[in-house]
Amino acid sequence: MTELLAPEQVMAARRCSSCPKMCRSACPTQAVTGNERHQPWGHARQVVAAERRGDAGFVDPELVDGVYACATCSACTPPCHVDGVETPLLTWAARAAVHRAGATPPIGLEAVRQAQAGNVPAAEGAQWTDPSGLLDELRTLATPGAELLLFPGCGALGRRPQAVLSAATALSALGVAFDLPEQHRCCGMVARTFGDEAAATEMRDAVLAAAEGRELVVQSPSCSYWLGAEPLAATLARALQGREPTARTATVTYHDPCYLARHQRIRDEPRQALAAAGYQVEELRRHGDTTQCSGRGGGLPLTHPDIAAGYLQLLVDDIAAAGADRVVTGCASCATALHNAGVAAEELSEAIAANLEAEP
Amino acid sequence: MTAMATTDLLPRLREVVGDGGVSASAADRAAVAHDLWPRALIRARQGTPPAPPDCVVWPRTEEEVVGVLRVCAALGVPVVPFGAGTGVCGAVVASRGGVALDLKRLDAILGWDLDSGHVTCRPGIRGIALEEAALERGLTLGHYPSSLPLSTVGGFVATRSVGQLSTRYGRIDDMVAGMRVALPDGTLVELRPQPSTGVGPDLRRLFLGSEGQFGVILQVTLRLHPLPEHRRDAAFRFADFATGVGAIREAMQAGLRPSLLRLYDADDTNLQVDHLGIGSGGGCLMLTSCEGRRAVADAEAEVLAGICSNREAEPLGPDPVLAWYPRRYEIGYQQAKYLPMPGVVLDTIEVAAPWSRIVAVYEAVKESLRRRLVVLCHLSHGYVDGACLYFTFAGAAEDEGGAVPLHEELWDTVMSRVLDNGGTIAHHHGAGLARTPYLARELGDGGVEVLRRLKRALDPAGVANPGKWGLD
Repeated sequence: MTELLAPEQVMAARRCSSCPKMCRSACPTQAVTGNERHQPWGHARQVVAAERRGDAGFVDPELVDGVYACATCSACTPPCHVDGVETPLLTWAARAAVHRAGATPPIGLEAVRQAQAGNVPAAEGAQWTDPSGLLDELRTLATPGAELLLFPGCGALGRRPQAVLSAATALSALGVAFDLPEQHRCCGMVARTFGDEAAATEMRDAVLAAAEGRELVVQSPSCSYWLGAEPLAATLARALQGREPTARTATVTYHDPCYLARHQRIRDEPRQALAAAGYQVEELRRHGDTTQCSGRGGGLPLTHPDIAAGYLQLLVDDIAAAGADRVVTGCASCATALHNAGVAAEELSEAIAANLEAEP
Repeated sequence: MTAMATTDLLPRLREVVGDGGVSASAADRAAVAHDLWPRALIRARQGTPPAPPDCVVWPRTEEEVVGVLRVCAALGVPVVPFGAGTGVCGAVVASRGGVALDLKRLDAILGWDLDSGHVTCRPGIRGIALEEAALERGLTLGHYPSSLPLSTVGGFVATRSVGQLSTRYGRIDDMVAGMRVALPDGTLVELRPQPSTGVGPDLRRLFLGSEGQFGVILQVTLRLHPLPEHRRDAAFRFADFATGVGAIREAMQAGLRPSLLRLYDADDTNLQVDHLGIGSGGGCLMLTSCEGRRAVADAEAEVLAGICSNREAEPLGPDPVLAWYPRRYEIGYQQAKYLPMPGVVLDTIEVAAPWSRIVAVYEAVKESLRRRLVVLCHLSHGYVDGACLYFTFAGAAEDEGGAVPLHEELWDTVMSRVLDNGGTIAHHHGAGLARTPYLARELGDGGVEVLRRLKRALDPAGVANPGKWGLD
């Protein structure tokens, strides 16, 4: 027995591990490795075994490896109809138990430290950078005191600065006044990812308190999920609604980021925004509920870069099969990862801003 | 395994599949220690699951499979092929330890012969992935086991699976046009895809259902069907089970081949009331679909409706069937809800019998266990000369310690009643460990001796999934 995991999560793990692996076909980790324990059933089974061993079970390196071999992309959620089991909440709960047991992977602890210090991930891998310069540049487009606060999020600030600048450009062009937070603070999703629930809550509360009641619009999908705030894609769709496009220039293929499409059910808005900005939008075979994760979430590129690369390859294969030559996605991290994999990819704001600028 | 084998095994396997292709980690081994055999699940619940294999290998090529087999044969180490682990009879339990040969990285589609309606694929491809690829070409495998989204083609072949529409499309046995197999010592056997062949015994049948005991399936060529142009669904309510059975017998013997043909007994019908929307009118529910070319499907549906009408079945229209299709793969969710509870025993057992014995088998099984367990039954597949009865059992022992004995009693009872009343103890879940104790009575001494001699001839080292069927 252990107090590291809530009784309802222990029962959820027992139920999940009694299921005939109904989410197997949806799990990208399972598709990449073929290892039976690399799927939610495997996490649950390991959690049940760990719980039998008491607290010691949650420092077992194989359990830690198992619950971190997951991008928390939630692909397992639509096929799961087991009462009392919610994925990936069970995976997050297991990571929190690992954290309480003191066994969080060091690379994850470092990520949380960097985020708490206000740094953002510079690129793929574990490089970190201070985004203050970029934020200063953005302020030239901002309206001090505006009701709407643009919160780019660590992923957008770090991995794709041009997407943040495009977001500011697009909002300005659409006449949407926005301000920026006085300083960059991580929303705490990275702490949640690495099982530090207390830090995650504290960091989220600090961001919300700093907003002082103003409306947050969040560019990075996982941040809007954790903050419970409006994703930028929805804001852009609303701002573009009813607008007559004047520069129908291109066809794009839209890739649904998991944290928008599955975690927040933001599926129509990015497509509406693209259409209103003059794009013909085409679909990948897997989209919406069944979108193929690019492998950027859940800390996967830090803890399991090989598996994360496998996720990305599955998405690249889907894009190749669709014959898409220009991909737009609602996530800056996905866009950069795809770009680095040789795909002509951009974040939603970039596509919107490009067409607005092209208008006479 | 011998100490020598233990020492030599991992380095030699790494030479074949590389460092990333083999693992002896406790977690990786535990994940393939058993399939969904309820006995194993109950034991896992109790913290004493079947012992895991000594290591897991994930070959990526046919050559690597052969290499692994040669290493195991040379060292005398058991090797157990593993697909998705969705079997329900314990066939993948490494009864003598050894190597779990996980085939899921061997999942390519190798080619299509669209004129012949053939697809050739590796064994590790999931059924749903193959079906989706066929659908893109306007074809279907016509094979829909309830595990389709989870299980692999190699598993279908190795366990002789049956799908929900097999009354029309046949069981996997009927779909295998050719295959390539590696015998336990690595010798390759090439059975070229042909529509039919008459050279001695059909060797395909030797490997169908062999559960890894005669070799490892490396590739399979399966027969496909054009997507049906039209489907006609109809549900009926019969006064009792025997009357519905009579209707199915007449339909099958008249040459009808509905794709869906399920008859639920009264207890099972009661469970379908809510989600199939059939009202609480009692009786026994039959679900049917006829599909294919429009004129043929319509004609078949009309004849079937007439047969049901002659037995005073109440027509319920297509809606219950339309409600059934979206839920067709969801049986596992209920298991997940109840199985973690102490003492709970859940299982399904599928048997078959000739028409002359089918009602007797049904009644004997129902009567023998109804005081201890909920016993549901539906007739799931029809043939010219008989049918499959699919029983579902649910209940609880007085305490957790009584769960395994209750499960053993359940199996002993069902197997005995089926044999006593002239049926066969398995229709499509395979043999594995679950049916090993009953195999001799099913096949007779002569039948078991044939299997034993085949096993010795094909697997002289005794390393191919040993410990099953009572052969060693």
